[in-house]
Amino acid sequence: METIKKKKLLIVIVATLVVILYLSHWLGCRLDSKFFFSALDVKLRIIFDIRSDQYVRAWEARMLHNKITQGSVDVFNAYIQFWDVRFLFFFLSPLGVLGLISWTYYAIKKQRVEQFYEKIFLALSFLIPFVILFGFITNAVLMILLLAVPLLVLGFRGLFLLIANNKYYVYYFSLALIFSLWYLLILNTMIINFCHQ
Amino acid sequence: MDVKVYTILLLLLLFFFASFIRIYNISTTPPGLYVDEVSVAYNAYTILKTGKDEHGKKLPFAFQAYGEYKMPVFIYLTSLSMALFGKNEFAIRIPSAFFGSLTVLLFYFFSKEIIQYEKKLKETYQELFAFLSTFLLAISPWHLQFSRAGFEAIVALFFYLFGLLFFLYFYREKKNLFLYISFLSLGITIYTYNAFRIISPLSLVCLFAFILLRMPKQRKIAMKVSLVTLVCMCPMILFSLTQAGLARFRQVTAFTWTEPNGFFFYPIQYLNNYLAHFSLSFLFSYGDGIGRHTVFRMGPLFKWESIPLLVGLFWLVKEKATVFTYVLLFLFLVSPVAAALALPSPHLLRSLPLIFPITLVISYGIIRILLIQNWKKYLLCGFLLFIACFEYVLYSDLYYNHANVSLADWGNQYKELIQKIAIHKDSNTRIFINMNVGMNSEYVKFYDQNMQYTLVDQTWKKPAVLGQEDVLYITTPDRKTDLYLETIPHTLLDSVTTPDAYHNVLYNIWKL
Repeated sequence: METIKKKKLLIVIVATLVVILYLSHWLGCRLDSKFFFSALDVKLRIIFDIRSDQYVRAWEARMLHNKITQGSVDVFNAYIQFWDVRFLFFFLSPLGVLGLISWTYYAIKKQRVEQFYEKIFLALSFLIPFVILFGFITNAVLMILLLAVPLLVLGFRGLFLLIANNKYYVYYFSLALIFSLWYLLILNTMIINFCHQ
Repeated sequence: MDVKVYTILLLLLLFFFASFIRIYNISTTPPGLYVDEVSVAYNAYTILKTGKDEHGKKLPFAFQAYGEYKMPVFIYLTSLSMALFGKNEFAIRIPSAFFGSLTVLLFYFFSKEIIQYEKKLKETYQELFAFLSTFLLAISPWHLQFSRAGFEAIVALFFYLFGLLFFLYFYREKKNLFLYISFLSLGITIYTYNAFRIISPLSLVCLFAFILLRMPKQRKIAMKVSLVTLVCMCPMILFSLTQAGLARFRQVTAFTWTEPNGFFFYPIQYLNNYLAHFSLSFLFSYGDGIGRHTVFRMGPLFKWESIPLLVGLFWLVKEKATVFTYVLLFLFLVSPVAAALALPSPHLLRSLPLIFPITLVISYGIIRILLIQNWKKYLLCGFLLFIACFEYVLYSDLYYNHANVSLADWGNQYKELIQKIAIHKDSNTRIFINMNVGMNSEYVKFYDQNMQYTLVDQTWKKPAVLGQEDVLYITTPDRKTDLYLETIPHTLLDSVTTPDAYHNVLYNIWKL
């Protein structure tokens, strides 16, 4: 029991350091405009869709190229970017992603989310991207932290579950740690794809 | 009629439906032959007429084009098709459409074969799963896009699926013949499309290792079949090790081997490229950004499919892993291996086998939704059906009615341009084509073999030595050309416009 506690503590320290290293690259960077829903973009797109094609009949334009359709598509496209596997790798580090995967795996296997706080953070992690993409938060630091914290809480919980349930956890953890440090090499260049200063 | 007859009838119906949506208006949609298609077409034509490729090589093993070498199977198939249907767009595209439709049919048997290992599903649901998977592949924007143009990857994909299916038959029946068919079919793929020169050998190694580890009684026959396959693949393997064989890889590689710390960066870059193929934005929103690979502003998968995909993944994790799960995992892992080596990454064409596991998981997710035991299933199914129908109508409208939006990614009206030049030229005419037209010489070779022309840049001026000779000058409409033309006598003979309601001028044919 004592050994597991020590290992948990060690993992928490190492994982926290890695995550801080990653987040420090992100703080001060605004998420790129492609993460945001824009009514103006939708309007322009509809105009283009109708004008650039030939013989768009009135009923066709109303049925297929309307604000509801295009707006929904835009929100969908913007929202799923927050769950893009590459974005998560750069945002939370491979170690954080390992934690998230473990958490998801055990939640599915056990068919329930065990702790109440997990439910809260799960709900937050699904909702906060919406808050960001509709532009309710403009402060870059707050935006990054709000996005990262719920995911990291679940990620750390996932790492604990991995330690408790999988005897090969040291290998998984070490591999993820190596990749996390390795990823730092290209983080600065890749981060540009997702944000601007 | 018994169930079997119904099954056959339904399957035939699906096959004809898949064929119909792949062949309907195939000559004109997509609009024009794209640059690789026209190269394949011209080589296929010269093979048919002279038995030689465009460079005069007799029945070549690999076809030189654009500084690389194209695999032979598709070009010879196109030759055959041209012999049957003539020198036209239909003949060039029909091999893809045909093999694409056959893949849909084959996918039924593949789905049926792997789902039987999910013992918890009743036989009726297993049958439904197979039909659903077949239907989803038939309407898949990803598969349809490549089936309707001369993409050799579609033929390779057929043989790849054929090989995997027969391996599953071999696993169940332990008949040696099935293993021969399987391995040889996988072997053929490396003669068909570049990406399969990596995917198929890797798959073969995995399957061979599987037999060694899990089927001890079949080890001997596996050795024998592997040896035969290796002998058959030898010419291509040896070719792949030469400078010519590596030419394509050099063109598209994600790794610039001159970078000083390259070996340190490359693994991480490879991982990043590999993961990109599982990006949701790539799958559902934007595709790979290449206009030829998706319908304008649509991803390779329908957006509604994201829900059953998640449900399917959820159940795959939840349930105990079976052969079904392992086959899916194998396909998920192997499919992007080659595509991740190259740029741009992610790439829809190079990771084409990924379409199989994704379609199967979506189909599995739908089955799991149907198995929900309360009213919620009707609500979810109704919602999904509504979105699915709407999205399919939107997709079909964009694909079949408004394909001209992506004109520049396809033929860009070069055929029309060459035909119009042919009308205005005679034996004494000198033709000068400005580089801004962007037309590759293969288009001229294919559409008008006798046309002689000179490619010139923006600074070109009519040489004084030409004097009173007839000169045709082809250029895009731009200010620089207009300024030059104001200084000399000129007549606008003709213009090529976009085939939409706006008729924007793409190229002008001037007589100087």
